[in-house]
Parts: sequence; structure tokens; C-alpha cells
Amino acid sequence: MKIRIFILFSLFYCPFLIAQTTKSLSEIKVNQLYSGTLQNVLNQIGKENQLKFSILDGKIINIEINERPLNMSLDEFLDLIAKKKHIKWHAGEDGIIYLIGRSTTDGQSIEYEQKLVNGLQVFPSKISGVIRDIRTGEALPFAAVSIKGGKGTTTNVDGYFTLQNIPKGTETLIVNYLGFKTREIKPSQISSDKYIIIEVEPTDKQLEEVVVTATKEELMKVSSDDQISTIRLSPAKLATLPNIGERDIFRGFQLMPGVGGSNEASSGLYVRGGTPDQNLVIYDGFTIYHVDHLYGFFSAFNANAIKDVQLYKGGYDARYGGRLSSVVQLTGKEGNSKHFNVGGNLSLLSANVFAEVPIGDKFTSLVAFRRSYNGGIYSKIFNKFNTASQSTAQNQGLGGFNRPGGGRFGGNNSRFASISTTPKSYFYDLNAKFTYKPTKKDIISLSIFNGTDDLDNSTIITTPAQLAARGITFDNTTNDKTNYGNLGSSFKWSHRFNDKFYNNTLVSFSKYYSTRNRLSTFKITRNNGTPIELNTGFVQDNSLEDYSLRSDFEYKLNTSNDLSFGLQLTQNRVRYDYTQNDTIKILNRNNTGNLSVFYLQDNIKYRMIKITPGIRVNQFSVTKKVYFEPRLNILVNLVEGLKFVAATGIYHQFAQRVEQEDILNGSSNFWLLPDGNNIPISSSNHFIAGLNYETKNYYFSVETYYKSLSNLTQYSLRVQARPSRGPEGRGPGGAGTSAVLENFFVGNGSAKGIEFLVQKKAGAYNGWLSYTLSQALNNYVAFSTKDFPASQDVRNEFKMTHNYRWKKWDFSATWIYATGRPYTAPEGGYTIILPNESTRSYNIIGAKNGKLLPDYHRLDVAATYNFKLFSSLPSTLSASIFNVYGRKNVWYKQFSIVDNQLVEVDVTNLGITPNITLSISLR
Amino acid sequence: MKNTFIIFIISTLSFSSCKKIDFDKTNLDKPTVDGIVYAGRKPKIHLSLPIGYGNDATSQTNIDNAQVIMTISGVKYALASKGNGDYVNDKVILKAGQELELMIVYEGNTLTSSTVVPTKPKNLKASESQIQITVPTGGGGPFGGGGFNQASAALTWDNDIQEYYVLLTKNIEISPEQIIFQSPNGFGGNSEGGVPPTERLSQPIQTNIQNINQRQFSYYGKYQFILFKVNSEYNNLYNNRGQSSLNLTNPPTNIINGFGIFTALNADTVGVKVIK
Repeated sequence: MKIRIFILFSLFYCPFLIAQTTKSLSEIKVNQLYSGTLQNVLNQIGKENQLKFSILDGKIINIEINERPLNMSLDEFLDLIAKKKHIKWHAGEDGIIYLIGRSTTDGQSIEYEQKLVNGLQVFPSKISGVIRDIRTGEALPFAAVSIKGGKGTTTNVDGYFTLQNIPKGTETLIVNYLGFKTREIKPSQISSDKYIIIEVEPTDKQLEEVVVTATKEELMKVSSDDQISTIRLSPAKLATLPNIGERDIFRGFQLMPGVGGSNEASSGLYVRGGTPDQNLVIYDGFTIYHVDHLYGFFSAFNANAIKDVQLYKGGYDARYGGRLSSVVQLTGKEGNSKHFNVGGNLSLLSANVFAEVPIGDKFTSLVAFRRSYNGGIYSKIFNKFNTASQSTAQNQGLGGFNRPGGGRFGGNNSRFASISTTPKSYFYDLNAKFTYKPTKKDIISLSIFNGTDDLDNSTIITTPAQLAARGITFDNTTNDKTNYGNLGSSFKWSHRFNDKFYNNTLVSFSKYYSTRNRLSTFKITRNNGTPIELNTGFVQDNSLEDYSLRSDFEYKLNTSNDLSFGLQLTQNRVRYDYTQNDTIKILNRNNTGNLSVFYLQDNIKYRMIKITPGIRVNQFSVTKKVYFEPRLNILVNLVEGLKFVAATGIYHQFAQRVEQEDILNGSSNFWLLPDGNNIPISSSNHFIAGLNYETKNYYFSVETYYKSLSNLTQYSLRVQARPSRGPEGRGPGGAGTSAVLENFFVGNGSAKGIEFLVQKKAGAYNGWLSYTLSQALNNYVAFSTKDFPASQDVRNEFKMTHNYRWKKWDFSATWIYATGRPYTAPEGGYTIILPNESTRSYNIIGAKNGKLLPDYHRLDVAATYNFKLFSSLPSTLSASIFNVYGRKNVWYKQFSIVDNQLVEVDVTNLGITPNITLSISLR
Repeated sequence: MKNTFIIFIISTLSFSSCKKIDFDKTNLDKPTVDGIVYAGRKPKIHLSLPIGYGNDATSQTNIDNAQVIMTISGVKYALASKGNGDYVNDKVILKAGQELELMIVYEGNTLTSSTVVPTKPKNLKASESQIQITVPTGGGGPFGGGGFNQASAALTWDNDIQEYYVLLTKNIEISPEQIIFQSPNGFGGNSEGGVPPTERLSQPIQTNIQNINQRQFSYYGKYQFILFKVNSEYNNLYNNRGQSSLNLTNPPTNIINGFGIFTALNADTVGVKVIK
């Protein structure tokens, strides 16, 4: 078939602008000498009469014209040229005058030209450009650009796209982005083949009683843009969902199928039987190692600073690696490029402010800061955790000066001691991003993130008046300070070489830090002035530093092959110190590991099939081994709207976060590097298959998965009541100190399940229902000779989310039901007779995770009122109730033995928790 | 299309169907060994089954039908059942430095363990032979005004390599007189909750000195300070153990295929008199 190449040429570069002719062509008179190429002549006429011409056929651009019309109307003059030079012209409804050659022979081209002549202009065979938010000018990553009813592409992380091989006769392109109105693009709106800017409009424009159309995406999109096992959330739309105190991106994901929703005490993502540490979190290109606040209750990402967030639940492609289960990719906002903007939120948990400052048309910036305060919600959660640990501490008899009422000063002594606490706990996070676009091909950005928690449950017991009167003073200061967080930054340069070749290069730094101080100081001074001082306790200090250089390339080889390849060099430095009594270091780990990565993948499109084979190669300096990770994604368009998807891959995890067995003896988790012996490199295999069916308003999906996990590590750091130099203790010990007993348990695991989703995508009422049937098993020889349920195993999980917009109101309700999670309980006990004939009792634990907590269910509701403060400031007032009917969901069980029988006490999660959030912004 | 969906769902459901987990069998049929033996005494251990929570039992069930063999420095000795779960060999006395191996056969299962009889504590001394109690007055208060809470004496012994010791403080009077130190303002008197014990047992320590203050005594009269040298398995009895479903672990044991402890202690004693 004869292939004709049409070049779309614009005489006046004005992308996405629709011009209007104010006079008819017959009213425009031409009287001059027009000599030169057709392009030059039309250029001249255009300038004289403020008209726009578009030559749609490259062959006629340089046709020589030499005419001197005498008081001819423009339409007569164009007819004259058309007749002499064998071309056709047409005045489009968009006000642009189109010209094309007459030399058509085959039927398709004739039809094509007929459309042209009839005013149905066509697209060029290739379009590239950028998708932006019409309100702020923000480039939108991962937006879908597609031919209506046909294939498409997505923008990259910087909002760029290239759509190739557009069939002749294509009448409409569709641009979709979550939380934005769907945009339809007609050929007449395209006036350049070089670079177009398409701007889309958010659905949440304040105060306008938005006309609900069936073509707007709302809160969540599953498997968007042919990505397998992905979920995208709209951070802006999260505000309408119920919350505990803050719009929480990670808690938003917990409403999705395949992501555990019943682990209320954690905002971490338990994805398809995986644990939060198996989840790679990337923010503007750098890895975040600590993702939450307040013992894990809130995620550390400020929705005001996040533009886009995407979760890959498994089977992710070769661009990502280093974790066993899943990937969360967050893209920070660049800031409003059109106007200065400032705004903020105030809730019962925190205050949150942001500012967007553009300078000129090439520089944008955004700074967002959020800080908690000791309001009702913060205190409620803080006390929940600390009451729980105090209670456990007392039962354990940790004694000493550790806790008021729990140790030496407990009992009758407490009646005279003056106890004061120092509640200074808070969290904050800071996001800043500075973006400079020197040319249309270059973006340079600096992104900074810092999220920190400072938790202080210290107590001070001071001298009561009765003792002070007798000349005795004492202070018992019990520190209970935890400081943890993540600081990270990336400096990125994106360069578009041409429509086919794109590169992102960044250098980044990320540091996780966690310090736990449980030192107690007891100081007593009597009349003689000789103070006696005693120090007990420990300080635990863990940090991980990540220095990375990575460069990612996208190369559109041809219409069927999109190549991605890249390099990554990462150095991790991990430090872990355990210091006893302020002076004696009994653990001092310092490890460094270098990871070198290369990946290559090809996105191959062949008719209705899209296959993405890839390979990721890792070299880890500690083990001096190379780890190969083949990946494969397959997507088949069976019939219109119905797709079959499948994915498989091998994944390795290098830096590992290990859970502490006894949370009372230090931070609940910390990062270590594998050493190849005690801590091996863990790996997983993913197998995913699914079907999804999409209509204009609904989305149906069923996906099944199987994941095998090898060389998982659990860590036990036991602090002995007295020091140990025994053969099982690795700690150096020392006179009068404690020692630690490190145990590394290595095992395997597996997870499998099936997920169902029905979503009403758009409309005044939208939402979804999801059900997941799953099983997660572990196998650790140290714990059991057989498979046992993993702690995150949840057999059945049903979730529903309903959103309804009515005038200026948004209403939302979510309900979660989940089978109870497994736990281990004592099944019996025994006593040992000590040398003084007293006895000491011990529990024997039953089957590992052999019991189930009661089923979990919870209803949350929210109502949001959109209004303009002082008639100009877009504002929302949102009221939310968490756990509406006060379900006493069990967090964990506390055990005690009374009369040789086990007494289980349920420690429950949050009861009814209301919240109010006020949000105001300048624009 | 509908059929494709249904077939897919059925096939994936069968793929994903969750099998019932075959848990480990219960641990309650594993014998518990209460095997703290002493140098200078006959080897004696106690065997029982753990008590199961949630049933009607109120105490552990003794095991009297097990075969118990103790190998002492390479020589095997049978320990005979004496009823009530006790097993003893009357013909042998344990000595310092002996290596002990324990083998128990019970209902076809074999439990094993081993330990060493530690040496006797060396150079145990008390800095004072008698300690005079100064009952606190109104000026003393609960924190021991007038030296009540200060060290009155010290026990010392050799311990260059930080081995484990346990100190038993024991009043050996037949009818000891209780020390009354209730202060006039009601603060800091004797412990609430009835008669104080005549014995106190410390947790394992690794020092070579133990200060003695008056607060440690509840009675006047003769006291024995019995210092036991213990092994690491005894120390492990005191390891922290979680008591919630977040952090529950099995207790430490050196019994293979069972629970409890098999360890040996060796003691020395020094006397101190507590006077008014």
C-alpha cells in the first residue's frame, strides 16, 4: 500500500489555541504582488489579515507562487492558486485555512481528503507534547493519551508523551487523568507537529456546581494505562474520604483490593500478603525508608505536596527493583506556574500550610509544611500506644525506674512522689520542590523531603514537700524518647532529545534515622550533700544512608517498540548502635553496601497484544554476586473493553528492615544490610493473571496472584536482665551491664489470592466494591516445622467506598470487613522451683499464629462542604467520623495467668473518632 | 465475553483456594523437666506435663513412669521414680566440675540435656559479722534517713570473668522477730500485704560484690547468705519474655524435645547476725 506522509505544518505556532475568523473570506480583499513559496505567500497573507493557514501536505509547501490579484476576494484568490497549482483548500470551523495537494489515488486517501474537504481535519501520524493542569500549569505524569476507542500512550514522569502511528481518519484523541475532566482533542485543535500543550481541568473546581459528566475520573483508577496490577490515587480527591485526622495517601490505598485494610495501627501497606518493608517507596526519584508518623499511624506524605501517586501491587517491570512485593511511586508537585498561591489545612491532628511561587515562566517552587499538635486525636493515639507498652512493661516486671507506677517507685511510694510528664511529642514533615525549565526540552528540579517524629513520654519524679522539708531531695528522670524520620533530596535533570528519546538523570540522598533513648537517672541528695546517682537503661541508634545516581532512558524505537533502559548506582551505609547505661556500647554495627543496577525492557505492541519483556541486573558488593531479575508483562485486548493481563518476575531485596521481636526493648524495627550469612538476600517470584472489562462508567476486574518468598529474615534482639557471655550470646557483655542476644531467623513464605473489583468510575455517585480472598504463609524452622499463617494473613476482605456529590457537598462512606488476623497464644504453662523453693512460671506458646483475632469491621463517613471564604478563597470544611458505630476491633491480646489459667485481655483499636478539617487556599 | 469471565474466575478460584493449614501438634504433651541439681547433694529431678490452659486441670500432671538416666562424668546412673514426679539416685553425690548428661525416655520420646556442676564460689566473705538496725525515725523517711538505705556491709567473692551468681538471703531463726519501722507520718513503712518473707532470692548477677543495707532485712536474728554459682542456662530463666500477642515467645530451655531446665548449682555460705 502506498504510504503517504503528511506533514502538519503550522504557519503560526500557537498550540492548542482555537482561532476565530471575524470576517468571511469573501470580504477580505487582496491586491498585492505575492511571489515566493506557498508557505511564504500564505505567511504574508496571514499577517496582513490576521489569519491562520495550515498546509497539510509537505509536498506543496515549496510550490512557487507569482500572482498579483486585483481587488480579488481571498476566497477567489485561493481558488485561483488551487486551480493553477493542483491543490485544495478549506476554511475550517476553527478558523484555520487548510491546504492539501490533489495527487490522491487510493481509496483511503481519497476518503481522507474528502474528510479534509468536508471540514473533518485529520491528525498527523505522530503527536508529541505535554499534558498540564489548566489551573496551575503543573505537568501531569502518567496521564493517558489515546485514540478514541483505540490505542494510546501515557505521559512520562515529567508529563511528556509521544503518540505514534495515529491511523488516518482518527477524529478524536482522549486525554484522561485521575481527578481531572476527560478532554477530547479534535484535529482542528492541533496546529503543530512539533510540540503541543494540552491542558486539562480538575473536577474539583470550587463552588461551581460541577456539571457531572460521564467522562471524568474520580478518586481511584485501577490498572490505568494498561499497567498491570496498579492503582492510582488522586491526592486532591482524598480530601473527600473519611480520615482520622489527615488526608492520608497510604490509608487511601488500604481501601483498595489486595492492600490490607484491617491493620489499623499501621498506615503501612500490606500488599498481597507482603509486609510494609517489602514495599519500595520512591518520592521524586529517591527512596524513602521511613514512611509514617506516630508509631506508624499516619503516612508521612503530605497530600498538599503530592501530585501523583501510583501503587504497583506486583509484577512490576524492570524499571523498579530492590523490594519483594510492591512499589509506591510518588511525584511531588512542581508548584503553580501561573500564579502565586498559598493555602493550608487545620485539623484536630495537625496544621498544614503550603506556598507556590512562580518566578517568570520558567521557574516554579512549592513548599509545604505540616506539624501535629497535642490535640485530641494526637493524644488519643499517643496514649493508646504508651498505655499499651506501660501495661506490658509492668507485667514483664522490668522494674527499676522505668515507669511510674511500674517499678521501684510503684505501689505505696507513688502516693507521695510528685510525678510529672513532659508531653512534647509531635511530628512534622516538610516538602519543597524547585523546578526550572530553561527550554522546552529541559527540566531541572530539586526536591527535598523531611519527615520526623519526636516522641517523648519521659517522666520526672521530683521531691515531695514532706521529704524536702527533711533535707532530702531526689530526681528520677526516666527518658522515653524516640526520634525517627527520613531526610531525602534529589536533583534531577530531564532532557528530551527529540520525540523519541528522553532521559532523566538524578543524584539523590536519603537518610533514615531512628534513636530511642530509654535512660533513667536517679539522683538523691541528703543533708550531708553527697549526691548518689544511678544510671540505667539504653540508647538505640539506627541510621541508613542512601547515596544514589541513576539515569533512565526512554527510546521509542519505532511504532511497535518502546525501549526503556537505565543505570543505577547506590551506596547504603547502615549504622546500628546499642548503648547501655549511657556509656557502654554493646552493639556497634557499621556496614556499607554498593548496589549497581542495569535494566533494559522493551514495550512491544503487536496488534492487540502488548508484551513487555525486561531484565534487571543487580550487583551487590557485600555478597559479590550478580542477581538477575527477568520480568514479563503481557496484555491482550480480547474484545473492546475486555483485556487479559499477566505478569511474572523475579525480585530481590537488599537493604532490609527487620522487625524487633520485643517492641519494648527498643525501636520496633530498624534497617540492616544483608551479610550473605546471618542475613541473606531475600527474593520473590510473582505470577499474576487477570481479566478486566471497562465500559464508559464501570470497571470490572478480577486478578489472581501467587508470590513465593525466599530467605526472609526475622530478627530477635533480646536484652537480658543481666549480662551474658554465654556461648549463645554474641554481645561482648561486661561487668554490671546488660547484654544482647541476637538471633536471626531465616525462612520462606508464600502468598496467593484473588481480587475482585467493581467500580463505578464517574458520575455524581461513584465508588467501588472489592473482595479479596487470600492466604499468606510463612515457614521458619525456628518457629515451626510446618507452614504457619503469616502475621499479616487475612483470609477474606471486603471493602466498599461510596462517594456522592450533591451541589456544594461531597459525601463519602467506607466500610471494611476483614477476617481477623492470626496471633499466637499460650496454650499451657509450667513452673520451675528455684533454690529458695519459690517458683517461677513460664508459658508455652501454642501453634505459631494458630489463633485468629475476632473479625474486623469498621464504618467511616465524611461530609465536605465546598465554599468560598470571603467570596473569593476556595475553601472546604470537612467533617469525618472514624469507626462510626464504635466497633471494638482487637489490636492485640494481653496475656496473664490467674490460678493456673490463661486470662486474655483484648487491647482494642480506636473507637469513635471524629475530626474536622478546614482547608483554605488563595486559588 | 461473559463466559470468558466465568471460566477465568473459576479457574483462578481453584488456583487460589486456600488449603487448611496443618499446624504443629500441641506442645502440651512434651514433658517439663525441673532439674536444678546441687553440688554435694544427690541428683534429683522432677518430671511433669505442662498444664493446659482452658481445661479443668488446676496443676501439672506428674510423670512417674519415665526412664531417667543421668551420666555423670561418663558413668551412667539411673534415677529411680520416688512418686510425685520425683526421680532420685540415692547412691551418688554430685561434685564440682562433673559433666552431667540427662536422658529421659517417656512414652517413646527421648529428652536430652547436659550441664556442668560449677565450682564452689571462692573467697566468699562478709565485711561485718553483725549488722545493727537503725529503725528510721520521723527524720528518716522512706528513703532511709540516717543510713537506713545505705550500705551497712558488703559480701565479696572472687569473680574475675563475670560468671553468674545468685544470692539467697535467709533468716534461720525458728521464730524470728520482725523489724518494725513504721514511720509516724505513715510514709514508707513495712511492705503492705502481710508478713514479709524470711528469704529473698536475687536474680543472677555477674559482679563480685553485693552491698547489704538494712532495708534488705525484715527480721532480727541469724542470717545466712548463700551464694550459688550458676550456669548460663539458669540465667536464661530470667530473660525478658513478652506477654502479649505482639511479642510472645516460648520460654528459654536447654531441654531438647521438652521444656524446663537442667542445670547444676554450687554454693557457699556466710553468716551475719542482725541486731537491734
